[in-house]
Amino acid sequence: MKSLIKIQMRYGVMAAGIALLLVLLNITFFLGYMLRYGERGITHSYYKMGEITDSLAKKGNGYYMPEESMATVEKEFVWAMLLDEAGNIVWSWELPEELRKKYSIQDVAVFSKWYLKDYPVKTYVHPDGIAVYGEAKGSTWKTRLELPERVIAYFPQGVLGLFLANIILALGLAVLLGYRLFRSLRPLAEGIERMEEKEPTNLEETGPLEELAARINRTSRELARQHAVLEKKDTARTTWIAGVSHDIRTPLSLVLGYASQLEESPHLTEEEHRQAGVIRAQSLKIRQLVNDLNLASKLEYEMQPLSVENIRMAELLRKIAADFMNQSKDRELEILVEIPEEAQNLKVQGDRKLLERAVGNVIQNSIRHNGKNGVCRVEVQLKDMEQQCQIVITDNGPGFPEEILRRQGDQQMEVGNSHGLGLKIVQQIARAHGGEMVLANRDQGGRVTIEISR
Amino acid sequence: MESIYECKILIVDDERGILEMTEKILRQEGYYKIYKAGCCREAREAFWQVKPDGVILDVMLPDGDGFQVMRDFRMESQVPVLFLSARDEDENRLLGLGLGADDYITKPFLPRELLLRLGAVLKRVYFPVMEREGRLPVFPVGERSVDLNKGTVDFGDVSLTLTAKEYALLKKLYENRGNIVTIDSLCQAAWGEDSYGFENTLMVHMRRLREKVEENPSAPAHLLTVRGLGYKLV
Repeated sequence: MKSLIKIQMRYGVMAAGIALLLVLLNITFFLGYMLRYGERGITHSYYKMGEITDSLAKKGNGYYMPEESMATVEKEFVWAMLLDEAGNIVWSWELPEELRKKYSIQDVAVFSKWYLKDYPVKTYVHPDGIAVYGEAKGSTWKTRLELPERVIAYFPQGVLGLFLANIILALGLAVLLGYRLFRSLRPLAEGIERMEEKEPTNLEETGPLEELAARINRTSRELARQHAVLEKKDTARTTWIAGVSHDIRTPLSLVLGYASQLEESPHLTEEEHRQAGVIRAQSLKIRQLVNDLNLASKLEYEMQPLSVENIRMAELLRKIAADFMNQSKDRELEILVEIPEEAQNLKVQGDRKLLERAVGNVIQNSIRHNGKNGVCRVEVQLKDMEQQCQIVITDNGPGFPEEILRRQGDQQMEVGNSHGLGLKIVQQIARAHGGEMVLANRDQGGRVTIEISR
Repeated sequence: MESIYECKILIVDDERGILEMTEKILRQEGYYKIYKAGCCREAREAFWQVKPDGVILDVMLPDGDGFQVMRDFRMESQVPVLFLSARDEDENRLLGLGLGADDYITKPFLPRELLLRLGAVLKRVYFPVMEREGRLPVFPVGERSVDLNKGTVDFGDVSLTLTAKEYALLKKLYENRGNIVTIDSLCQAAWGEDSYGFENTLMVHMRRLREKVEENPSAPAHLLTVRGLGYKLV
């Protein structure tokens, strides 16, 4: 939606810009035109006419115009005459026949403003009368311009105001049109947004954007279909793995059961007891593997329903540590739980069994990879961060192989690696709790940080 | 009935192998009244005929599920039922249904595990009085002797009386002798649910308890502290 508003803003600014540009262009064009074509008629010729008229001097009985002025007159006009105060023609040049007459005051008043027999004329006052110059018929358009004084006084403001009004109108129109465009685009944008969130879109397929709406609807349907297919596949895979693990569990029950029986049987030799013990231990490993595989596949496709409750982390961590230490009396295992005072009552919304499993898997991992180092020391720390709680588990083992550290950000962690499935589950559980698992190596041993959002 | 081994046990599982093995495990342990069923129908028939004292019930049966069978049983009797399942989901379902099953084991299981749980269930249902009537344990802690009946620690002519909290703590530790008991479990034993905030009080009580049971309370030999976790009675 934000992008749409941005488009709308840009659209408005651009439209206003175009309007402004057009106004400026028009003004420039008008001024240019006036300068180019208006120059001669307006300024120049009146100035010259003064000169010419003044040069028309009395010579004997008549009047005489010097060569220089005559040349200008010939260039600009088709005829010329000088009337004395009584209206008689005292001098003329190329005067058409029809104009040879005596002129009354009325005549003068009329032609000085308009035309003389369709000839546009210009008049100029001469010391002895009035000089009249005629231009070719149809060459000049004459009008009278009378404006109230006020109009002329406010002319600059008026122009400026008009200019501003133009801009405001242009801007207003741009915004209005833009808003209409925005309104017609909004459902489309919403449709695309919904599509992003994998919700079905059903836009009204009408109006100018009909085709676009129809396409978005089609794309949405196609996406929904693909999503459904994918989900079906995921469900199928999870169900399949669950089925396989179920099928393995029954025969494994028999193996585990009878191996345990043999281990306790009084009729067997020491060696045979040991062998039965190996079968039992390995069966337990398979059991663990099947359980892990099942859980991992469910977590992968978010099929595992989280039974969320309020968990006091300090208590949970102590319980896990105590359970491990109680179970491994014969082994050299030391688990140190360090919880600062402020984290003692830290509570987390989470699945108790899954969180126990995650921490347990990490400790199990430390024990498994620490075989030859003598005492296995595991340190569990609880840290209260603002938005999350961190469980930091460090050990004195060999640490993690580079390969695993490098690949820990991947969505798919390598299964089959001896570190793999157990840690993958830790990662999945952390993610299911809105957090992440981070692996690192220290100088001596490895460090696993489980972050859980609070 | 003199002991739990006289209980009539009905095992229901569609897998012949499991039926046989479970029977063997039970017989070896000393149970001798054992009945078997392979499906819901057989289970119901056997239930009416035998009136078992305990049932080991598989969840997935060819003609229905164990939960329904248990519902039917529960209409008639409060016979203890131990569920046996091969699927993780069953546990959630079991809890969700609120059937009041007595325990739950996932396949594959260790025979020892099955026997312990079955024994515990049967004892709880049929011999609960024995424990209450019977004398509570008297056990030695080093040179001294703790009597849970009287709530005293005795040595020589001296008899020290335990306070109620000390008694609760010592009993909890005794029940888990040799194992670490977390601070949280001890607090819960002494002060009940949601006992956060009693950690410091716990330390005080443990110190007093040591003064009673240890020869040299400043260098405890029996009531050990496990740093950061809890205490252990050895």
